[in-house]
Amino acid sequence: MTWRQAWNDFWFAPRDLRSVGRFRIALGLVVLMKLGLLVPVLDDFFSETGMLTLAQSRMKVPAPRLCLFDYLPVDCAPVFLGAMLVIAALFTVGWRTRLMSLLLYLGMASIDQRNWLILNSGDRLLTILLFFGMFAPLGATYSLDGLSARRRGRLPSGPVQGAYWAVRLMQIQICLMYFWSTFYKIRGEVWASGEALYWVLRNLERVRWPLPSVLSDTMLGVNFLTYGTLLVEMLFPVLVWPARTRALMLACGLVLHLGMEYALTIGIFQYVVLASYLLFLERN
Amino acid sequence: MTRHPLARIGITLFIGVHLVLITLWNLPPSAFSDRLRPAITPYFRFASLEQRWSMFAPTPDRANRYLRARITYRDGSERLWAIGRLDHRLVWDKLILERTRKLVENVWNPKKGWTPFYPQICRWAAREVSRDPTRPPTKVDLELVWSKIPQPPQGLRQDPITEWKYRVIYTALAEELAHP
Repeated sequence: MTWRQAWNDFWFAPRDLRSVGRFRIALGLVVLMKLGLLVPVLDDFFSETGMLTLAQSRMKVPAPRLCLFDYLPVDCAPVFLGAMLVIAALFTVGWRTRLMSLLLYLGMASIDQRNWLILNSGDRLLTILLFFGMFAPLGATYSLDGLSARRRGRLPSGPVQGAYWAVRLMQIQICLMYFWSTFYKIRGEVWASGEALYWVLRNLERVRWPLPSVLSDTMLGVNFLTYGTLLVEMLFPVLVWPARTRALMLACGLVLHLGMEYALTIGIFQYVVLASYLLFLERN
Repeated sequence: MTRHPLARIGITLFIGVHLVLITLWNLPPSAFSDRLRPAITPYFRFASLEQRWSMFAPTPDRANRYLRARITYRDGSERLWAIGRLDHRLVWDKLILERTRKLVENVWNPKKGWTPFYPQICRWAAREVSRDPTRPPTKVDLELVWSKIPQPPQGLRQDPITEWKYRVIYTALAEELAHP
């Protein structure tokens, strides 16, 4: 196979879209979770009497920006959130998916840019995936759109295949996330020396539930957690691609992120990453 | 299906441009990346594609910290209100209030230029504590409260909270508090 053929095969060969449909559902549920968690604190984060006014939000992200709050009444946050919840639900079930995908991206980008002081990595990754997701056939499978298309005879009865290039972009974004995460970690002495997780697990603002004492209260346990984290993040971008090592790599990532979710409160990050893992469960 | 040659060329350009931009954006500070980043920033900020995958990197936080608003009233009484203090919270509260921890993580260091945001945070804190119009606050001190985590291995079986210290990072007076 020539380079050109390999490129075309990787990016443009039609592929089974069932994993993409599952990803859409998972991502939609994560969006609903994010929005649901904002409901109790809407006033604190998105009102003029909260921690950041609309004018202040423009200090870091000046115009032109993709923030619908700039064009809506200043007290629109409850209605805006309500609309986003409806759009997210429709996106999840795959109704008018392309349109909902666009609206969801616009809405989440607006929420991010309205108050960037409270954003974590999960928010950033979520919005980036929604951006690339606008170009992906997210509604082809496991969706009301797909059901409707089959009834009208516009889709075959078997597995649906379709354009995969936007899915590849999302997959590569995940790999780049792990690559740069490893890059920045190994520049730190505490990661190279194996003591990084000692500090992380003693940051009580983040800790959720304590890990077994053998892991968190011994240097051997701390070293294991630190180097284990580095190893998974370092190997993921490489070993997730070959079919032979993909399942193992995804399993290791699953353990890593479930472990992080058990021990730490880091917003929606783990859920976004685990939803993205569904993109790698492609069938050839 | 992307079979049309022009479509493939367009998509290939889209892919190439974004992969290059994402890579350039994530480069560590250097003469090269510092020159490029201003050119990329407008698009990345507009499209919410900004990303920095440096959680706990290169060095995790070595202190527990939160912000505290000390609200003083005309009669001299004081109320304290903690922002981003989650260590004694229940799991569900932590899930909801995790974003206040993120706020503290972003703004606690006045040397990084966050001072313009402190007045609004003080006003917000004062409102959260009391919305009684007959008892307006005369002053709000925004305090950084921190406790250094003991060094390993001595700190392995100790309480990570040794001694809370605090210092005032901003004071908002009545006039500033009254300003909407």
